[in-house]
Amino acid sequence: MNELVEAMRGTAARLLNGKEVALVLGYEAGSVSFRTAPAFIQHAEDAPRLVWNPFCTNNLAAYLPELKGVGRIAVMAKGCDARSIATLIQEHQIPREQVMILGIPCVGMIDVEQLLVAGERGPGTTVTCGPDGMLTVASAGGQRAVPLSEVLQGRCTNCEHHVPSIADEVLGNAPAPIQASGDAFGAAAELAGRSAEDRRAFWRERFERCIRCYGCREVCPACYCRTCFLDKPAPRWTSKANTLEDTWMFHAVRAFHLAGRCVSCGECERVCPMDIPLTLMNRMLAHEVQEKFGYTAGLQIDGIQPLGTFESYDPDPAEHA
Amino acid sequence: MAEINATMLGASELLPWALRLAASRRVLAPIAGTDGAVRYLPVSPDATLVFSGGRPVRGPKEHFMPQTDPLFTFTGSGPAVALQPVFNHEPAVIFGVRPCDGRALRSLDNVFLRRRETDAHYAARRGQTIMVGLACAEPGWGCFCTTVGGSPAGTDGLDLLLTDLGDRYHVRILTSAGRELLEDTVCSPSSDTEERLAAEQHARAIVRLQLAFDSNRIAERVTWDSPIWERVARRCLECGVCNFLCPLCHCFDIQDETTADGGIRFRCWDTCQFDEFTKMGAGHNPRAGRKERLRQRMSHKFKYLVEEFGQAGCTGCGRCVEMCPVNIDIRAVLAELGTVPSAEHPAK
Repeated sequence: MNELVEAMRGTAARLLNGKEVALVLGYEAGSVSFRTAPAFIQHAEDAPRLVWNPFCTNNLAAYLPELKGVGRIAVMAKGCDARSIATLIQEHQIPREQVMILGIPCVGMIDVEQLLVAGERGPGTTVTCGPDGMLTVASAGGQRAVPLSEVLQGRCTNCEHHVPSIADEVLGNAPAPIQASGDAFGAAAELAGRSAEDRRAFWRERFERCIRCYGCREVCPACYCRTCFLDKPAPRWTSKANTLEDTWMFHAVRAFHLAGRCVSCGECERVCPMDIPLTLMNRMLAHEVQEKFGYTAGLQIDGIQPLGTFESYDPDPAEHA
Repeated sequence: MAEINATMLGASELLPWALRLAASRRVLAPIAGTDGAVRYLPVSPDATLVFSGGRPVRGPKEHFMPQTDPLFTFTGSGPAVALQPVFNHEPAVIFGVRPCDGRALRSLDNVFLRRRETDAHYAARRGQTIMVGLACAEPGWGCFCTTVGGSPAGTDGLDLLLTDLGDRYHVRILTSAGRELLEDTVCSPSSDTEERLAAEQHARAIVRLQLAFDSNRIAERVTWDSPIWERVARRCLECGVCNFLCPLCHCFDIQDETTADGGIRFRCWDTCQFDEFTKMGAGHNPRAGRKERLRQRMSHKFKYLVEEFGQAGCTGCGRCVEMCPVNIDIRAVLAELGTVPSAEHPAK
């Protein structure tokens, strides 16, 4: 891990000193040891602020569309983040030459909710990550060691792209091999297999508690519409009243907009304060796009996405109603 | 001085008591929904009240200030328009209110009851709701109530304060309404030992909470031109997590929704973090960016409300700290505001 951090800082300093980039997007220490914060590094002397650990969960691609005018930007990117960047380039949200992808071999990000158990969620708790993949949680109640592999975020247990395939440089040494242990579409397929009535009940129960904070939308690199249909005051497509129907409409439209574009970075689900399993919808749609069109989002920077065009021989959705 | 008294309640009596009360009024308690999110929901015989662990993710604010709050319906149009007010508030009891959230209601009272106009809906709900508090045994990592003048065993805004002693609750009686509520259950006098155990539990929680920043004269340090705003706000995503989870944020929008023959006017939560919040009809937005919006959020809480009511718009519940997607920790921001010089507040 330390070598990787050194490589990050060294590369950032070199790129900024050489004026190769105007900005480096990375991670810096958060206010507690089990959080990091997105870092905007503009001067080489700030490069030592950069950190790397399994709490660097944010998908920094989310900042790119609005930074278009800043000059060339270097971005620290995990496998999923790099796929988001590729999608943004493919969708002409940022020119390829304006973004330098610094690939980070990723061993998975930690689900903090799962990591910290009762007694550890209070003030003063610290988490340190050993090079052997062991985490040490120190709290008022004592110390505990947990293997990283046991507390990974759901999206990481079935990640197939932990090393960015599209990158200008890959930092650090040969990546630690990780095996996808989960089934990427398992949970979504299970839900999809239930009756329409069951599925409706499932989502009703979850959307009912949505507070429409739009954390899911704001954290999503693929949600970059300059004015989201939700925010249009006239015509108002959805009510500002937090009714189940309007909330449902919001999540459904967002999911459809992401079909064939979502890279399953899982940030929407991580930031949802109400624990709504949002990625289930995205997973299902990714699965369908893969099955019908043989396309996986974020693995190419050119070409047109399946839902960005049509062909006379496209599968007929009516057949799958 | 208000009469102070205490009593003991068996832990197994809690739900039956809540259910008995629910026969005559709305009774809410912390209950976990699917996937774990704990909210204040109506009690039912098969409910499990979540009285241990951290604070519920949504506070009791939404009972007093629902996210969507109908004001009136209307039929017809023009001079023939007829309004029908929507005003049907029922008596309620809320169980398991954390001291930070109880105290937050005191501050909301300032806003809705102590200004020139009184908010009738808020007043009706507030006047008919009894708050059964629960002393915080396990503060969260983002909690800082003691920094802003609160306590994990604080009693502000509460009618009763329960302290969990394992198989029983120590109940501190704070108001006559709270005392009357206890007539619906079986209590026993508290012993000296139980008083001591409760006090010890409170002390243990207080000790865990270190001072996060210097809250003394905080309003003076929240300056308009601090360089902090731009630097911290750069990573802000402009979502509404912080404001919507805050037990004290109270800004709202008013909307009309019409059909062919009538409609409804309601108010709904709004947040200073959204672009639309201050956007004018002609397109200008006086708070155009995230810097201005972060400054507004912090200034409203730690400057404007302090100047108006002598009390910050924050009780240190820690929800925004823990839930911010990009780790904007207001404790760190406030700590730094005291140290980073600005033109308004130059370094000594």
